[in-house]
Amino acid sequence: MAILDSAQETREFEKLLDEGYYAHERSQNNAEDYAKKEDRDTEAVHKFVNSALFDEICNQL
Amino acid sequence: MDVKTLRELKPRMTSRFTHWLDELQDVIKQRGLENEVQVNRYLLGKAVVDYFEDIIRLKAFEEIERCNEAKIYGYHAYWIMKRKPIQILPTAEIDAKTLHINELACATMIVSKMYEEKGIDIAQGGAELKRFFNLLYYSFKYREYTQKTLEIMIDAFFLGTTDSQNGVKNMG
Repeated sequence: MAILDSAQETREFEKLLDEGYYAHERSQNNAEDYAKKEDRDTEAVHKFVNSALFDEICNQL
Repeated sequence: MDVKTLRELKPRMTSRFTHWLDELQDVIKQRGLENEVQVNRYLLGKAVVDYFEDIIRLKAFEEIERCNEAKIYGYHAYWIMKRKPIQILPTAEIDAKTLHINELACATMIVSKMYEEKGIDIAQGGAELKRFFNLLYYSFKYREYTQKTLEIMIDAFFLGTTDSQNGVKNMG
């Protein structure tokens, strides 16, 4: 491939690939450890399921 | 997944299994379906393992340490619907309430967790939430989806609520 003819072009291509593909995920990687949120989320499901709103939603399905 | 990784992940997978089981059983109980459906623990365990395998592969490929919540919720729902751990008992009727119970459970889990993550009281949800829930449930039943499309849907929700909380108005 012409784009990979020189070492410099190869590095530029790799940089392009890296920026486009990996960098997005890494830039989003400020997530907390989800294990700390498991209890919270399960409780959220429990509250929603036992709410009047969920009853209304299910009755309309 | 190799045995060493499996051993290291066992506490997390056990915890995740327990939480998902609680959530599914909550939905079954609320719908009054305890005598008609039950959670098949083998299938739920398979969904948990598949989820972790999928996430581990993604983390390795993308060289990231932790996944964001949009991914976690999206991949979680995908593998539950793929493995369908809630099974209809042989003695039960197959009807509208039982046929799509896995899809209902996933819509319930996704919506409640999205709201919780953004600190919004879901009990205040009105007509728009009902419409969205209905659409999500319909999509799970009849439309095509992947774990990635679910992720982007959840991320779009997060963006919308963040913009709303920041007072960003619709520019349209």
